[in-house]
Amino acid sequence: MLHRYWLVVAVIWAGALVLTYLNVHAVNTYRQRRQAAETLRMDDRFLKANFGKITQVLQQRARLQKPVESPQLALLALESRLKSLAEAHQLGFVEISTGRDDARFDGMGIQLKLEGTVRDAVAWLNRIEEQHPYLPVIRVRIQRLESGRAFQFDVSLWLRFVLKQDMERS
Amino acid sequence: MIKAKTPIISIVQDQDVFFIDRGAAPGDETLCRTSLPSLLQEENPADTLLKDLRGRKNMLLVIPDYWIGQAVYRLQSRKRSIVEAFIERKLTMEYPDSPDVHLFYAYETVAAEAGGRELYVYYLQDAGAAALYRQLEAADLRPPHMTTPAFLWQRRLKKGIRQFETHGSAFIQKFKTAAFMYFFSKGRFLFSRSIVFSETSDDPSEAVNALTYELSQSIYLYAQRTKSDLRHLLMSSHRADDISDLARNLDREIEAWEAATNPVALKTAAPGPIAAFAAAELQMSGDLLTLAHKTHARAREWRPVQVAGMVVGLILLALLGAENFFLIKWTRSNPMPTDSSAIMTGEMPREVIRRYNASLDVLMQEAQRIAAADAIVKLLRALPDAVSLEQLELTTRDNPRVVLKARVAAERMQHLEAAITQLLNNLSADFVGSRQLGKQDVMIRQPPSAAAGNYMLEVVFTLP
Repeated sequence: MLHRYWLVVAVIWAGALVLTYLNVHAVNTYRQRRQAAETLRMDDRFLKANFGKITQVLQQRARLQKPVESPQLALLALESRLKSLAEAHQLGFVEISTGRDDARFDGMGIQLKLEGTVRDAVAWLNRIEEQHPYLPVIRVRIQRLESGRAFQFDVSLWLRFVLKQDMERS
Repeated sequence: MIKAKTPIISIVQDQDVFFIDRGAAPGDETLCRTSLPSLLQEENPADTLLKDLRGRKNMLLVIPDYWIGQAVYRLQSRKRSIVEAFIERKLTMEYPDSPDVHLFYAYETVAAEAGGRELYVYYLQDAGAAALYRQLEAADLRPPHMTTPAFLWQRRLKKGIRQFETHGSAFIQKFKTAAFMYFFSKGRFLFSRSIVFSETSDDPSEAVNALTYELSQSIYLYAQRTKSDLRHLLMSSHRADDISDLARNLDREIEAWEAATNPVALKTAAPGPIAAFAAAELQMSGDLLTLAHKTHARAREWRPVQVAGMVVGLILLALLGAENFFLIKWTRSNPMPTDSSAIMTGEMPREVIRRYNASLDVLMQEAQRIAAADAIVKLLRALPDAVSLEQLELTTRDNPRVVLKARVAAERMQHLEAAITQLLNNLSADFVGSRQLGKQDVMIRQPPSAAAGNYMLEVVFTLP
């Protein structure tokens, strides 16, 4: 008899515990959904209010990475472009190499050796930085040549790229 | 409509067991009467009992006084587990032939006059009592409580007599054919006696004389056992003169006591001690001393806790159930946008904002990046006229810094110092944020092959 009554008490309180759990779970679920809905509303409002600014920022960010189909092909095109730019600024193109050892999935180093005046080199650098934001200059070494006014420029660039297939996927 | 059957009471008197319906009309309470010896020997006791008893709850079993023994022990502890273990050990030791003696007992702890505490223990000393309990249990009529006429009188006298619990009292119940005497010391039952009168004699004085003798013996026994005298002597009799006759014989005052107006009627020829009680009185109440099976007594003690647990649990269950019902109903009537496909489309603005935040971080880092062409121009402008560039190393990423090597043509030391000062001032002005450069940061050397007044300077500094 004693055990039977305890069993009844245990069943009642177990039911109360289960109901407590269900109620807490229901309240938490509803609260989380409400928070999610509120966040969604705020996100939506923010997007609508700042659409132009956001678009501009995303475009600026996109300019910092060159969309490529193949890094090797992009590198070849870039070498050609850098050579022609150097020639346009009266700089002697001595050597170009790529730092394949430190290449990453989204970037690759490029080393150039040029000869010429500092003025021309600065103009060349200026043009690269203005026209190619995805190609930041990370190191420049200027060394006066024995011959006199000319200098040798060792320039390290970092090509930031993104694969087009990755862009389309995201 | 199903009517619940009223509970019953079982009474053992002489060699019979009576089952009483408490809800029946006065004079018609007896449901069933069976022989005690045959009931004890019955293999299947349920078959011998009437169908009217089936499904009834047997609330109380009234057994003869002599089935119950009593003992007094001295024990200081009031801790229940210790007291009960002590009683069970004592009873088992004193009654080795009664295996059930430790299962049925009741006790009271009182402060002793000599100091300390005394333990009054009441137990089933008659083996037939435990056997009857088991037979009733087999017939699904297990009584939760057992009591005796003496305990019923104790409850009634406690309510009716002043100083009952502080002095000695005796009560005589006289019928035409028998008399029952109960002796109480300080409100506690001490012993009982019964006397049967001769049925052949019509002279009432013979019965009074026999009662006088028996009572004198009992009063003497009482004085011996309690070392005190009786304060109250009470009597209930079918004949009014019996009280005055007995008082004269004993030479002491006897108080008359009214019997119950509607005593329970057992279908028996000889009246017994129960004949003084109405059916309504034969029930368990808080101050009635009863014995119970150890397991049942424990269950009874836990019953209030269990009932409270059930009531509180049920109330809680009802409240929580109502809350659950409300929550389910309310959430169904107030669906969230996230319940629909909006949550799917909601991923897009969230992702756009995440990309926007990440882009802002990148653009801020980009804005802080040093523009190489601009930095070179500033460095060249910082060179005074007397200083010409020999080597320049500019690192813009990962710890940005500048290593500047320049040649100075200075005929005098003052010219050299002036050139260095101007160079340092220009550098500090143009590269805001880098630490203030001092002359100690400039390394000066004179190449051995260089002409007199030509010096090589080397300055190394970090960029902000």
